[in-house]
Order: sequence, then structure tokens, then C-alpha cells
Amino acid sequence: MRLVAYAGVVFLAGTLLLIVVLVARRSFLRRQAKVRGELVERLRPVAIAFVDSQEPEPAPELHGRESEVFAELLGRYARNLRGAAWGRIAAYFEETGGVDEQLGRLQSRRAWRRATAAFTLGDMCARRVVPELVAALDDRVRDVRMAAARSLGRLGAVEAIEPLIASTISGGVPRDVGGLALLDLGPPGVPRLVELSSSTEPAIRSGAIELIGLLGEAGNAEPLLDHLRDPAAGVRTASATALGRLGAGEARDALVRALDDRVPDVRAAAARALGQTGGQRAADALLPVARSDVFEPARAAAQALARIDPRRVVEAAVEPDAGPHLREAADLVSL
Amino acid sequence: MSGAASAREQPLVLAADDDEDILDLVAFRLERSGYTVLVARDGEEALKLAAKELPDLAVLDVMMPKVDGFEVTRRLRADEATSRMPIILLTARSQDADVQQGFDAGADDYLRKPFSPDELRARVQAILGRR
Amino acid sequence: MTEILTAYSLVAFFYFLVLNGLYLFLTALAWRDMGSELRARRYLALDEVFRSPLTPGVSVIVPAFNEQAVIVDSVRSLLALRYPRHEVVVVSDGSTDRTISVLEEEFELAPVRVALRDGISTATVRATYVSRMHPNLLVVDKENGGRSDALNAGVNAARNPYVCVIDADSMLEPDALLKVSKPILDDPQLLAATGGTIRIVNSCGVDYGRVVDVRAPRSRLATIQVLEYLRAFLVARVGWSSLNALGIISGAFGLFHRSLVEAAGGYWKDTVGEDFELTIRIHRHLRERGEPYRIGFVSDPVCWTEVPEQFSTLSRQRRRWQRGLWEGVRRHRRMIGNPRYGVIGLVAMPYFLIFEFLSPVFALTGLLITVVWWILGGLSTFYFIAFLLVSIGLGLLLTTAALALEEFNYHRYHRRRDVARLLAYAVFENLGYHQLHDVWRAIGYLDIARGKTGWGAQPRRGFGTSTDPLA
Repeated sequence: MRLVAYAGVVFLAGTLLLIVVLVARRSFLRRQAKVRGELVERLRPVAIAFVDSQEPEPAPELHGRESEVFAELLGRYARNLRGAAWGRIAAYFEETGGVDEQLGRLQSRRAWRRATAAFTLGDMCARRVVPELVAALDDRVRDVRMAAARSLGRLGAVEAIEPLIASTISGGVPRDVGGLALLDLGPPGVPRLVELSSSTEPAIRSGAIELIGLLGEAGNAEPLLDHLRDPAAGVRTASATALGRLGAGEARDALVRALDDRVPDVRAAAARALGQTGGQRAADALLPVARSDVFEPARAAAQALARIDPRRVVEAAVEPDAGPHLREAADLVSL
Repeated sequence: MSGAASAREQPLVLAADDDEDILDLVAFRLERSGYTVLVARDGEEALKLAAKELPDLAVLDVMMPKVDGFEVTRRLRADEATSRMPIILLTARSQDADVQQGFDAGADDYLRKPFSPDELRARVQAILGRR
Repeated sequence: MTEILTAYSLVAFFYFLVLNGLYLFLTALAWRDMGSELRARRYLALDEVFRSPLTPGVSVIVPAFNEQAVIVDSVRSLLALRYPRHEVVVVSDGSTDRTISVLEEEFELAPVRVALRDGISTATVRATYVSRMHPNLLVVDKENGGRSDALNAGVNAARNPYVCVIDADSMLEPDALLKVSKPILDDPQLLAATGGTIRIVNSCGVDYGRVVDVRAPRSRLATIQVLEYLRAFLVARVGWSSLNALGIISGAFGLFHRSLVEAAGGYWKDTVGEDFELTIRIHRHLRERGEPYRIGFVSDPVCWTEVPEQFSTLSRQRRRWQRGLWEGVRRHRRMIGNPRYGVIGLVAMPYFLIFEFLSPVFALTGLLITVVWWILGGLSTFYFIAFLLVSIGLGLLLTTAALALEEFNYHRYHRRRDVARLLAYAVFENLGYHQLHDVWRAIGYLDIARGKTGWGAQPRRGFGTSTDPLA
């Protein structure tokens, strides 16, 4: 029972200790923040002048904490910028050893250090780190892979397109970040994607096709037409979506045929795509789908029709068999 | 044509963004290029400054607190005094629907983030040069 | 007689040890996890998610009953959320005030015959509106059916693959949706749902739907609730989430796959704890399906909400939470101790029953027996004081640890005065409030026994938070 009393005292003592630590920490951090704030204020104009693309000013000689703050400012500005400032930012980070430091951290045993390093390298604008970042795309930790993908996109590392495509399609890198990085890298990735769209794995085919829709242009539509008849529904859906994004007029007939697909998601994707390609025949085909198909395809068809031919939607909506989606689309048209 | 403009030495540009870094970059580049820059940190401040100072051009971020860039654009267009003020929208939202929304609201141009301050300057010059 | 009492007080003591041991363990887990969540901020790539055309859309569902006073600010803050593609679906649950009218005026609503899914059956929808100014604002006016029903209607109306549920009187921070979605966006096959932190907005400075000045509440009750919420969210939820045993995604700030909510059957109408029950049901559904999954908690994104400042309102709320807890546990009682349901069945469900639901029993009777015994002279003053020292000391330690977590990782309370106030109230909480709270929850047992259902016969003043986020 005496133990109980001791325990009570221990808990109270522990509480007091925590409070002391909190108070001390607060004062310490406050002082630190003040010092840092002053540094930031002083170095901010220097950093901005440094990154200016037209009349830049040379980098200052900095050490210790000043150098850290300046580097952080540069990183922040780099994140918002495109263009000429990059070369200078990269040069600065090279000269001050920042790039090497981060490359070292990229090998750390701790995943968060690797991820932070991979991310930071993207803000240092130094192209020479691309091979290391590509290697990081195979890291066993997802966050590291994601940070590497993001940085490769930021750096405009067109040479990394293939591994980036592979990671994004396989799911090693989250689709949103990987897709954006590829979008930043642009059309050079398309040929590889076209190759992958013939893969034996349906998941790879659909992933590649989705990306073609984002990165490609009207000329890339042709091979996708065949994929509208792919045995895998996911691939057919991806093809329809991609064709819509590419705005390919020649796909119209194939898309109209896809409105009869037995899988609702495919029909919905085809309807959406027709809304983007347009045309009278498309409108004719969309109307019955909008009237009587199940929820998703009917909805997509009604909205697609509203884009192509708003007047027709309004007319069709007053008929007794119009269905809820045409009526909704008609109301939205007159909004 | 905003009356105050003709009396100014340097064209006046209003820059609005809640991100300090962007404001710094934009202000620096435009000032170096011979413009006077007013800064606002949210949509409400942007509208107030626009009404009071009648700038020659406005560069607006879309995602701003209080009143967003689209709404600021709409209100500027709705007001007689500012209805012909050129407006450039600046934003990270870069999908086609967002661009369209910007133009529908009445913007004259749209610049995606990350951006090149130099390109911004060129567009500002192009618009104001015409006047 | 004395043997029974001794035995009982031993049991109570043992119960107390296990419960607090568990809290200490959760605190330790929270320390570790929060650190890594914060380090992750450095490479989170939220800007990229915001810019990406592949980021899926989220429908934010706001059930509202007679919320004319707060709905406009809430919707404004939701429309201003930083997210690439989202819509706001306000579901007015048969509001008898001007909820729809104020929305109509503020956002230029136009009647549109929106086609709604019938995936989950709900009370009749009377009308639907879309805003001319903001085409991504959808308002559903339906017959009264309760919060669950309103949420289900929202899920039916939602046009995006994910739904985020939130209360009508709450405000989300601008980045909150991005942050709470991030885990799901990173791994949509694995993550089924996520929840974020709920903080107390009483006495905070608010401007245009954003909290610009975080302060400790002036109200004493609200200050104590700040402590409760800090423990509940920054410690308990982080801890449980790290064990993959998160039993509640709060209805005031939760994100789900839309299709999953529909497949699981939507929210349950016959409970006041619909968010708790749905989370448990989703666990059950996914475990029965046998696929690996995770339901996670993200401590960084914040939803600000107002809490009751009066004893009567607060006690009603806590009694309601007890009922919600009971209804959920009872409905899924087959999961208790059942290895088929993994850590949820073996740990979380027994925890909810024994340590959440039944804790007032042990706490109050234990206290009563000890006090009576001491008065009767059976217990020496020394041991009585020792007993008090332990319970207060432990309570203080746990609360201070939670405050420390908040200080170290988020530092939202800038003013020293506010932190000092919170610390001081940690003491008061243990000397009186805690016991009072247990009494309220005990009255909750009576409510349950009397078969009290629903939100009570009194006129509703809006929903508030429906389930104990402190569970």
C-alpha cells in the first residue's frame, strides 16, 4: 500500500517535470524564433534579388545559421518559380555543398530523412542529382518514392520519364503526384506509354492509357481506338476517358459504339468523352442513354449532351419519359 | 480608362496573394521594371485598394482568404470605375475548368504557378503597353 | 461483508490500473506517431496534390437542422477549402427556420432537379438547389429524418468518389481537406477512411470562416473540454490509429470512400451515435470481406467546433454520447472478444464496453467505497491520501502529457497565459469535474434503461457532435 503513495508522488513529480520542460522549451523557442525572424527579414531581400531572372545580384558569403536561413528561403522561392532563376539557385546549392549534403541524406537509414532529402533536392534545381532520385524511385518506403517522383517532376528530368512512368503505373508512387510529375515532364513520355499500352497486364495497359490522355495530343488517339474493345473493362474505361481528353474527332464513331458496352463505367466514360469531342451523331447517340440507362452512364450522357447541344437537352427534358438526368441537365443549362 | 492612370508617372499595379513569397517575387520584379506595386493579402483588401487607388492592372491569386480571386474579378467587372481594369489571375489550379472559370469571371489573362516572374512582367508590359 | 468490499475495491483498483496503464501506453504511442507525422510535413507534397489533375474529387456533406445562424459562414469556409476538386452538399433535414432561405440569398441558389441515387433509402427529398455563383454548391431540402438520414441523403447526392462529413457549425481550416485526404490519396486500396482533429473554437478570434486567433476559452467548462479533446484526439486517436484499432471516425470530421459507405448500408437511423456505429460497421464489413485495410487518424488537419458552455447542455450531450456508445456496442456485440475481427474485436470493442461504457460504475463506486470506508475508520487517513494522490497525480500526468504533445508539435496556443490556464484547469478537472462527468454518464445508464431514444423531445438546436469523440 505504501507503494501506492510512492506512485502518487512519482506521478506528481513527473507532471511537475513536464511542466518545467514545457516552460523552459517555450522560452528557448521564443528566443530562437526571434533570432531567426530577424535573419529572415534581413536575408529575404537578398534572396529575392538573387533569384531575379533579369537583373540578379550575386550570392552573399554566408556561414552557419545565416547560410541555413538563406538556403531555406531559396528553396521556398524555387518552389514558386520557373525559368531562368534555376541555374543560379542550383549553382548556389552546389557551391555551398547543399546538394552533396542532401545526397548524403538520401542514403540515410531513416526513411524520413531519405524522404526529406528527396523532396529538398527538387527545390535545389540541380539536375545532376537525377540518377540518385531515379534510384530512390525504388526505395522500399512509399514516402521516399513519392518525394523522389515529385522532385523529378520539379527538375524537369525528362531522362527519368521511363522509371517515373513505371512507378506511377505500378502504384509504387501515388497516382496524383506521379501523374503531375509526368505532366510537368510533358510529351516525351508518350512513346513509352504507347508501348506500355500493349502490355499483357491490364492494370499496366489502363495506367498507361490514362497517362496518354493527360500527356498526349490528338495524334495519339489512333492506337487508343483499338483499346476500346479491350477485354478488360478498366482498360476500355481508361481508353474512353483518354480519347475524350485528347479531343479526337475520329474517335467519335468508336465512342458511340462504346455506349453499348455491357459495363456501366465504360458507358459513362464513353459518354463523357463524347461530350468533349462533340458532334451531331454523338448527340443522337447520347440521348437514349441519358433517358434510360442506369445512374452513372445516364448522368454522364445527359451532361455530355448539355455540352454539345444544350437546346436539345431542354427540349428532350419536357417529354414524359425524359428521366431524371435530362431534367437535371436542362435545369443546369438554364442556370 | 481609369482616370487616375494618365496622371501617374509610373503605372500602378495591384498584386494580391496570401502567400508572402509570391507577393515578394511579383513586387520585386515589377518594381524593377518600372511599375509601382500595391500589395494586398486577401480579396477584401484587394477590393478596397482597387476602389481607392484605381490601379492600371491587377494581378490576383485565385485562392485567397475572405474573397477569392474569381469573386474579386467579378466584383471589379461589376463596378463601373474598375470594369475595364486589366486582370491577370495567378494560381496553382491549372485545370481547364479553372482557366475557363477565370475567363468567365472576366479575367484577361491566366498565369499558372509555379510561374516565371519574367513572363509575368512581359504580360503586364504587353497589356499596359497597349494603352 | 468486509470481504466483499475488499474484493470489490481490489477489482476497482485493478480496473483503474489497467485503464490508466492503457492511457499511458496510448500516450507513448502518440508521442512516437505524432513526431513522425510532423516530420512528414517536410515532404508531404500538398502543393503537388493540389495541382494534380489526377487528384480525385471530394464531396463535403453538411447535415443541417435549423442552422440559419451559422450555415452561411460554414459553407463559405467549405467553399474556400484548398482542394483541386470538391463540392459542398448541404442537406437540410426538414429545417423549420430560414436555413434554406439564407443560403438562397447568400449564394444565389436556383432550383435544379438534381438526380439522386437511391443507394441508401432516406426520407423524401423535397427540393434540390444549385448555386449560380458556385456551381459546386448543392443544397438538398428533405423531410426531417434525423442526422443519419441527412447524411445518407448527402451520400446519395454526392458526385465525387470520396465524401467528407462535417457538422454545420464547424469550420475546417483551408488545408484540412488536403491533409485529411492525403493518406487515402497515397494508398486508396488500403485506406478506407480517415479522420482529423477537432479543436474548440470558443473564444477564438474568427474572421470570414477562418480562425485567426487561437485562445483558451473564457468559459470554465469549455476550458476543461479543451483538455478532454486534446486527450481524445492528440493522444487516444493517434494511439489507437497506430494500432490500426481506431474505433471512431468522428462525424464532425471524417473522410470515407463514398462507395464503401453505401456498400456498408449507410448511416444507421436508430442511434444517436451514428458515426461510432458506422465506423465499427465498416470495420466489420471489411474484415468480413477479408481484405487488408486501414482506418487512420491524421492529427494535423483541424476542424474547429463550438462546445457547450452550460452544465445542462453539456450533461445532455454526455448522456447522449453514453447512449450512442451503448447502441453501437450492442448492435455489434458479436464482435466483442471475437478474433475474427482482429484487433477491433479483441481490443477495441472490449475497450469500448468495459473501459469507456462501464468506467463510471467503477469510478463512482470505487470512490464512494473508499470515502465511506475512510469515514468509518476502516481506512487510515494516510492510505486515503495516497489513494487521492495516485488518482489525481495520474490524471494530471496524462493531461499534462497531452498538453505537452500539443505544445511540442502544434503550439497553437501562443499566449503563455492560455497554456497556464489550461494547466491550472487540469487540476480542477480532477477535483470535481471528472466525478461530475461520471455522474452524468451514470445518468446515461438510466436513460438507456428507460429506453430513451433519439435526440430528445425538446426542440432541437442543431446537431452538435453526435458521438463521444472522447471515446
